[in-house]
Amino acid sequence: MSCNEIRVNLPAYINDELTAAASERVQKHVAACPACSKRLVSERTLKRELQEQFGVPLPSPDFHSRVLSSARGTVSSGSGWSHRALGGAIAAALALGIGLGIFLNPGSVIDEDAPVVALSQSDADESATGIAEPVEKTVRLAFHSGEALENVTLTLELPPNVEVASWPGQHQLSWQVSLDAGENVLSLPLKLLFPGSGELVARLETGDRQKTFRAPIPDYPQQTAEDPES
Amino acid sequence: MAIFPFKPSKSRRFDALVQPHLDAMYRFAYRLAGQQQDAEDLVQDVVVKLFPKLDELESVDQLRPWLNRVVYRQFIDQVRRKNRQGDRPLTELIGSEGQADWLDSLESDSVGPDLQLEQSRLGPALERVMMTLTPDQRTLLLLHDVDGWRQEDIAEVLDIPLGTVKSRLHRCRAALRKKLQRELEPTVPAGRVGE
Repeated sequence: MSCNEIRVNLPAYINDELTAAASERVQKHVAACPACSKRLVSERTLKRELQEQFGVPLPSPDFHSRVLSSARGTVSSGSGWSHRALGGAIAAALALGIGLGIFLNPGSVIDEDAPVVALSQSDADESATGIAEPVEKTVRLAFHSGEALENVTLTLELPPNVEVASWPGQHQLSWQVSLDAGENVLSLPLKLLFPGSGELVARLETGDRQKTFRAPIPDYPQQTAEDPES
Repeated sequence: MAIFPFKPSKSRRFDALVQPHLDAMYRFAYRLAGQQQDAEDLVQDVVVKLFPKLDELESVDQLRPWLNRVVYRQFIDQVRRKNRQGDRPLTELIGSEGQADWLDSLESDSVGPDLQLEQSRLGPALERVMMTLTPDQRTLLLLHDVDGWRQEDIAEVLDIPLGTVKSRLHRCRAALRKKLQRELEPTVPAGRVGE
């Protein structure tokens, strides 16, 4: 490799972007060639000086938050994305015939920044296999919050005929959660143990603020298969 | 208390994807725009544009170069709008150029003068010389030499052939060395010439 070729490759060599073989060729040549060795020192000096003089200033301290919130803000205020999404969840619920939805009442404890919850059924076991057979139904809870909230306690209260699939036998469950500004969706697998009435109570608490939402439990499937022996 | 398995919201998914790349996007935008505020605004415009395209973002394998490409296109669009120059390429970076094998066309002295640089003398001279380069040449040089972008990365983001990047970088550096040499040569006061 000629001196000229070596010198052309020096910046890439310094930038550590040559292949191992090419890098080794440069190293060997530079070790044996005083002129190219000086050129390497010179290139390194130039790079170091450029780095010192042409660094990029740090962005504003609120750069990340401002940029990310502007993206969310534009969409939610401009096109009503959040409300459309929430409406979609409710529409899906109506299509399945369970029509569950709860909204905050005006003047509630968490006021306009408070989460709104919508409850919809997204999946259901349509089979009716017999009397008092547990039936799983997955419901979607969509909490709409006007602001990001940390350290929110979410408590679910379930009637005696319902439990969460992952926590059998428990009818009151609490979790520590964070809510994003906008929609927060939870798929909750419920197990309907037997027919019954009742409601799902969801309570959100953060600091001294608290809000309770209530939604009817999905119906226990009616028996559709006829028993020939009955 | 258990951790409640919320499905991450759209905002959270978007933030998780984009936030790790914001600083890199800003640094690239700064190289293009040359001003902190303009760079921040450029990134903000891009992020606002991308928010509704979360699904597309989630399908991208190499997000950083992809995001930087969007930054670059947004920058070019803005410059075009400002200058009302239609389809005419505004920068050398996006201009077309035949680059079959750039190494073949190099003259023997094309790597620039054999300038021995002493750091202590470079300071103001280097700044003056850099300002004589076109913004595109400066950007290219700084992306590579200061920000450590590999030539392949530059080619990918700017959507130009690798050979073109190499040749332009090479010519930038040769021009820089030549101009630096002139700057650093000892000058003879005009009144004393011929004495």
